[in-house]
Amino acid sequence: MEILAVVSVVIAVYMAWNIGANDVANSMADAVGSRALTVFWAVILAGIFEFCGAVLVGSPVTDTVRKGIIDTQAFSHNPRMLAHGMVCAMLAAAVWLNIATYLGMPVSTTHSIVGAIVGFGILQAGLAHIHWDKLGQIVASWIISPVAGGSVAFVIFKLISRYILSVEEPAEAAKKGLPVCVFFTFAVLILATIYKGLKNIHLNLNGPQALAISVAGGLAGAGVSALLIRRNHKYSSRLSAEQQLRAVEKTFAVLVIISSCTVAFAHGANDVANAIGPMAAVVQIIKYNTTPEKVAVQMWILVLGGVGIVVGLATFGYRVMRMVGTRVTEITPSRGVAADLSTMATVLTCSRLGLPVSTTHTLVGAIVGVGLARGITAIDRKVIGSILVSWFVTVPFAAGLTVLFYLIARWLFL
Amino acid sequence: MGVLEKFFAPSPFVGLQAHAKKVHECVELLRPLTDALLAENYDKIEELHNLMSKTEHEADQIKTGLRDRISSMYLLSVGRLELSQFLAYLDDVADTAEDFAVLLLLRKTKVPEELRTDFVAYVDQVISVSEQLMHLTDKLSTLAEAAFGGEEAREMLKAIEEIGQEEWKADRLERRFARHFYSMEDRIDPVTIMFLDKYCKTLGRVSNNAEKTAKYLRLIIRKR
Repeated sequence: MEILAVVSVVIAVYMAWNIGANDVANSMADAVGSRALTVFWAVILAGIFEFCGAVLVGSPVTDTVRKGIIDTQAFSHNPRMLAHGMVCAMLAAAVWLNIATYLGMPVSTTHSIVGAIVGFGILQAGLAHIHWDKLGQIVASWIISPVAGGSVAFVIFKLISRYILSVEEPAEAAKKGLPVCVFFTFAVLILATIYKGLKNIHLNLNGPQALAISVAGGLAGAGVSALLIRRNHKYSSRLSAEQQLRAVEKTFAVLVIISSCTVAFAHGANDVANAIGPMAAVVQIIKYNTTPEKVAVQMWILVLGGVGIVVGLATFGYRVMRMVGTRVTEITPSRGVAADLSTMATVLTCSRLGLPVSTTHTLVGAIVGVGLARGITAIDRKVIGSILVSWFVTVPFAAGLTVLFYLIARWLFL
Repeated sequence: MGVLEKFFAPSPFVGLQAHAKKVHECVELLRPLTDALLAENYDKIEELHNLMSKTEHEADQIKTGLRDRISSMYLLSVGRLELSQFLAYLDDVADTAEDFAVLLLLRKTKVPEELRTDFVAYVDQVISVSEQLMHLTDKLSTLAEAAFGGEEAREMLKAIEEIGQEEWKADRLERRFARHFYSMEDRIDPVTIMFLDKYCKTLGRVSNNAEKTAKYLRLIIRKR
């Protein structure tokens, strides 16, 4: 094994650590913020689901980030150069993430790594070898994902509000409505996971098979939840409308835990690529000294990324999570479920399409969507501003940082 | 840090409830003020007037603070203008209550014995209109939880109609009181009559403003 490979592994783990430290808390925010889950359990569950998402669904996005943006043919005469660039890009993205985490800026890991790779691509391959159409697609997906997340969340919350919260007997309506929510949560999750997703563990299913299994899984989940709700809500119809709403929110609390776990799962599937994608390329290049069209992402790489995220979560994410738990008080479980479901569906769909979207920004879009459906009373104007700023700053900054690192490295080692 | 812990602005309804409560505290002072007037205890009136200005000022501060905070939020479930206007209407209720206290301060009016029951009944009814308004604003949080729809919203709209009824009752009591003191016009001196009329009108404005505020809530509920 070469030093460069070791360095790339170390940096990839550092990047994964950053993702775990910063991003993961957001994916569990709805469950922790609505007091459905204590911080301790949120960290444990997030760890498990991030890891599973990274390992089980992780690979397809990796391809796009790595090879879609730069034309690898430009490096065929000198594959090592591409490896060096990828290492610098990873380091730049990770450092930028660390700075942003320190400054409290809401940046996206996906945006950082894409920006970093673009920076290197412009420097070494030239503008002509950047796939601008691919980059355009990716940039578009950053705008599309919050909008899509918001629209889906708007519809879901309108439905929840119309058929459960706003009826004469919310507790009665919940008995019928909640299993439906559970059905969709499970079905979408299972479908997104198994349809072409489980290549990693050598399980290939075609469309109808996957659909059948998801529907079956959704129905099973819905059935179990229906039984549980019936047991817990025996006496609820005697309560006033206000007390019934409270009781319904309590039932939603269970669902928000499940849906937050699925967001963590989707996040793991989507974001692990940011850490391990460039590393997989580096390892491949060193091994064969070529610039391959396609790199098989090996299991151990995904596991490494997953472990890095979990360690980041355990060491630093805990603190961020606690902040989320104490500060986010304006969200209730029913709102959390709507936002989570929408985020999960959007992120998993985009992952399947090979578009690297930001989980944080999709979730933010989803929460605004719930708000526009009159689910959330107010959001902070300044934060919206800083999100927009971070959108514009991240890519150029990560690109610049990569160029800087690359030049320094060349000056030092060559 | 993650973005979400800073993302949510505190619900404006908490501040709104605090404001409505202070405003109702002002209106509740009408009763001790009236008692002091009937007891011809003018020192007490002076003291209550000071308390009234203090309470009204506190309500003002809550209102200003809330307005400042609204400007740094995006209000998603209610309109910024509607909320601001609602605060202004609530403020009018406190202002007119203070007007009444000032009015008592201007002249040591002696209210004839036989008018007292009608007067007190009228004042109590005005206070009860304002009290119902306060209960309505208390319910706004629950309403927000139900996403401003369904049963909660229907109950709220019904309660707003009921405030209209209460205000109408206050109007009737006002007329009875006025008719009563005008029927004694040859026995009461004209300036006293004039002041009784002013009391009547000011109290009428308190309950009117409370009703207007409640009616305005419809807009907040019915938005979109």
